[in-house]
Amino acid sequence: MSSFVPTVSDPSDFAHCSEPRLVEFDSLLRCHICKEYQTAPVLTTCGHSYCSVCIRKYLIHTAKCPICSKEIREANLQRNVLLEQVVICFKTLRDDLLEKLTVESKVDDRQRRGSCEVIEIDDNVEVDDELEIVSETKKRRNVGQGGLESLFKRKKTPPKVGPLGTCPICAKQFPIRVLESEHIDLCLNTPLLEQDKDSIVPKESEHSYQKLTKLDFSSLSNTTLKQKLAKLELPTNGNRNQLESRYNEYLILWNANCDSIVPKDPKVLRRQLAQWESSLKFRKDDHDRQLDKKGWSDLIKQARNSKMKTREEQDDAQVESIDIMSTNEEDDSNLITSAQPQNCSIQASTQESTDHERVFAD
Amino acid sequence: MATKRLMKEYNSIQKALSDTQEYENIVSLEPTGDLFSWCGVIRGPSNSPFQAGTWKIKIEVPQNYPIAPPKMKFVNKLCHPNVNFQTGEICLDILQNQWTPAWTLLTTMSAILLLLQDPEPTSPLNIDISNLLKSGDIKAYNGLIRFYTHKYAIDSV
Repeated sequence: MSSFVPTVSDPSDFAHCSEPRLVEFDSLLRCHICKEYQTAPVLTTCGHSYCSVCIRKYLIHTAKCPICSKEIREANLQRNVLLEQVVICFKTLRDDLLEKLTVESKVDDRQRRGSCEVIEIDDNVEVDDELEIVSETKKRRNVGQGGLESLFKRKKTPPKVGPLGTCPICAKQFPIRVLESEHIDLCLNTPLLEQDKDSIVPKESEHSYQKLTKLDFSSLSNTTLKQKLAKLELPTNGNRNQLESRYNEYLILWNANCDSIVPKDPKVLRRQLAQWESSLKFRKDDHDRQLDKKGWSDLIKQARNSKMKTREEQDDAQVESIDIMSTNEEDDSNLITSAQPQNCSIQASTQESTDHERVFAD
Repeated sequence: MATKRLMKEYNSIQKALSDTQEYENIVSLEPTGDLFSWCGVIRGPSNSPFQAGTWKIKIEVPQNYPIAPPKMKFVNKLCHPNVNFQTGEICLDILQNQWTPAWTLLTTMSAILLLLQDPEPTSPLNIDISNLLKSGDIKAYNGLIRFYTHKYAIDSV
């Protein structure tokens, strides 16, 4: 399990960088339900924001805001475009930010020793982030001047000690010692692509996705429900319950996707639906398999017992004893071989179901 | 959704317990086996009759967490108005109808710690100790708790 953990991002990742106040900023951008960065955030009537999927799923269970417990309705959820842009912007910057802020603190120490004074700007990064959204020219200029570090550190006074040299990459002046030991490496490692990119914040795209409506299942026949699912290119297998819950889950995924400024392709949603369904199946399978192990040994016992009975009956019928022994041996081996194919057929059926899911995902 | 969130919680719990003083009375909070069964250990707050005791709390996380609340139970015996002395069941609104996904396992554990210091005698699971509290006999209340703490919760974990 521990091998999974490092891949999980957490606000406390910022706790040990040179700007620990980013912990708070990071946690503000997260959904209170899934603890992930908000995807397609929606605003409730009480002013709180959650991932569209999370809050929709929760409202089916309890029609209250998870933070303030005020009554809210799914129909009143409003998309929160600015927040989504801020989240996307921060997500794009996050890794660089973390790396630079951890590297920066080391570089800082050395630069200070080289009597190069660097001060931290009091403004929170969040302000800078927002500025970036409004004015792209500012961002580009900053990036041009030496990457993200210029967003956080500005030189108060030019370095006083040591001869200056010009960096061949960013054309800025640095004390030669700093230039040789740190700066050129840092400058070379800053991807040039970043400078060319127009904006990291996606513009609101115009999409033609219409929200789906809830169905009144009681008035729907099986065939019409299947038609509805087929129209959405969803699988139509399974019993009535499966059909209904499949539609409901897809309804949530689809409507949440409509709230996003960068909606995913319906194919992606269908894959998510397939994953959801297979996770349900997996849970059930797990349960079944446990039963199976016990079940099989019980079945074998039963079979042995019934064999013993028939053997006794056959004894009663006074068939020649040698023949019985041989037939019984045969029967036993028959039993074992007959048991094995059955076992295989179970594996085959699970194989089948995964195959089916693959088809489903495609 | 549940697994991912629990992984996140696991990650932040380890950091929060080692980095901050806020959760000094939570000794540990870890999954046992898989991510859906956890075990937590709390220490009695120092200004309370529960002082010096340590209690183990067994946590079962449902598959639809965080939409549904986790189930929490005391493992070793605790004498408290809102805790069933025999079963360890906890009467706490956020573990039942007041649960919201904004709570985490860690914040729920702190809520239980707060319940230790701030009992609610109007909805008791341990009638005897809550009657002592209701009648205002604080000396007996504290004494009885101290007795059971020493009997069941010293070196218990």
